[in-house]
Amino acid sequence: MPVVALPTGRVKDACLDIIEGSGMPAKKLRNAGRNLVVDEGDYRYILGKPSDIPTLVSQGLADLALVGNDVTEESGVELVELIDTGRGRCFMAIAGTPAAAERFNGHSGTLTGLRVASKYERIARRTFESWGAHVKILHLNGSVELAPALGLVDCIFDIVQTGGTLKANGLVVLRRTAEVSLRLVANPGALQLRWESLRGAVNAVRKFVIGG
Amino acid sequence: MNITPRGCSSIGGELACGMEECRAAALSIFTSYGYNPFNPAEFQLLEGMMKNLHRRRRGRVIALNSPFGEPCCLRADLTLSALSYMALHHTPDEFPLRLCYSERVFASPRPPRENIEDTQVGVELFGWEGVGADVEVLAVLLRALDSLGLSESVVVLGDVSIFPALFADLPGGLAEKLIEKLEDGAYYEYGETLAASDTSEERKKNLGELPWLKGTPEILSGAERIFGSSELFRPLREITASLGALGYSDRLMVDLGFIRDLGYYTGPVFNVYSSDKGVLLGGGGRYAGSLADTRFSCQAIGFGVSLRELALARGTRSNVPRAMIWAGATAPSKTLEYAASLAERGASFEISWNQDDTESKNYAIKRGCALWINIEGDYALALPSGKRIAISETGGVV
Repeated sequence: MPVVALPTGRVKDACLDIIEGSGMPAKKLRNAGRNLVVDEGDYRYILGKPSDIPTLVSQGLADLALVGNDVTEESGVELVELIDTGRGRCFMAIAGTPAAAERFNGHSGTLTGLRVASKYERIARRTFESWGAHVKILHLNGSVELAPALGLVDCIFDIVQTGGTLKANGLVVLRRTAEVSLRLVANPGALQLRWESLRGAVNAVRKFVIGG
Repeated sequence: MNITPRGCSSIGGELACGMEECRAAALSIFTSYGYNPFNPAEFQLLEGMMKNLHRRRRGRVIALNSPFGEPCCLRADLTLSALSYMALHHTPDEFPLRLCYSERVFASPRPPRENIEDTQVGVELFGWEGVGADVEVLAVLLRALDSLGLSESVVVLGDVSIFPALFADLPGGLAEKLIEKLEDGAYYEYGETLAASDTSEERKKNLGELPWLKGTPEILSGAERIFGSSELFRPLREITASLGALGYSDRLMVDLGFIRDLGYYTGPVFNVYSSDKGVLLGGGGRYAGSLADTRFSCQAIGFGVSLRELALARGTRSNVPRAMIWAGATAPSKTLEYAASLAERGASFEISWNQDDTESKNYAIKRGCALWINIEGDYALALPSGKRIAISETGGVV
């Protein structure tokens, strides 16, 4: 029985649409309530906090998962990325007050010393390091947009969907760094050992994504 | 007091016993096939490691200076140690040469793991290019797993030599990009990179199939049809056929998208899992590039599997001694003489020096011993029932 991990929260509906659109059973899944494990048809679905999904897959508790590439990259775990579903699109960006924009228009040296708030500590560090800039990362779990306004940091590194929250907090996108969407990922071992039983689900998602 | 740093662990109890059993059983199989035990240095010179390790592993070595000021790392790779030893102590006219080991390797962990050390058992076979060497090493691995009761373990085979052949003549830099995508497990990006490339539609379609060619060895026929070559897949055909003839056909899988450390490995590679629903135990493959800066010019093949994963996969074993010998009323020399006679018979026991026989019995019950032996009293008690057995009537065997 293929086990598929799905994130709760913001992208859950998009995931359910993909599951349903791919022809996989989703009736019980839609009405899961507080159940976090749902057996339906030939599948077992595990619902988890988005940031826990890569761990569930890498530890072998799930064979497949739908999860944003921001979350998998931040986790650093080794997974196989099979399909970009194109759903749940947003982007990763550095945002700050308009006054901070100047530091992003010149040599990377002007970025050194910046104080950056993010819940994506790992990606933020790697991004700035790739530009040769040494910055101080402050890990925050939520309401990151508040930090510049409170003078805690110079800018933030976060995902941006509509830009509404940034605007409401007087922030603008200073640099767009990566595209984010829901990806179908697999446990490398499950893929090697049980491809025959996973092929149906993977091909169904691929067909839905191409068709949709 | 805690003196064990994060990422390290001191293993004791049943797991340690299980690991020791796995080590003994595996080394017994390896040595019976002519693999000579090898005890490598714990430090490796950093320069040689940086030159020979694959780029993906270089960033994970744990570097430090030796007390003599030499830039070193904690042993990051057993194969390179074995190779270095071979080059210093043997000559090519002795080929093939065989080594086996049971040692720790150290590397920075990949999330979510935290362990920086792992004890591995494995073998290295140097100086034989024929497919017979691949089959031998894999057969030794499967025999060792059988001897540990892991008869449902599965070997997944790939062959990194197919990639340079299949990607030959692709336009500028495309082959390197495709290899990088496969190494990173980015199948989606592999497909996108291929789709955006300036190559024929037919080639795009065929190469696009590559990561998805996984399953039983029968998929090799499909691969031969798609790529119009049986020669390319001949090593995998021969290996799977030979191991199949040895009765291992149900435990073999093929994954043509499986690429590991290309440049370090140069031919067939493999992963071994505890079962088709199990955990990764280890892996190995054929290599030659890493031999480039030694006076050896040869191919080699080897594998390493985690002792801890082996022990966990077969289930932990009890480390409780069968008998507790009470020495409280007996001279130490007499007690140890009796203990030696039990040891000769292969019995497991522990000696209790406690003067109080009741305390000694209670301790034996707490430890889970099946017997409590009173040498002076010439009897043993079955625990916890307390049934009395006369030792002299059993010729000293209880």
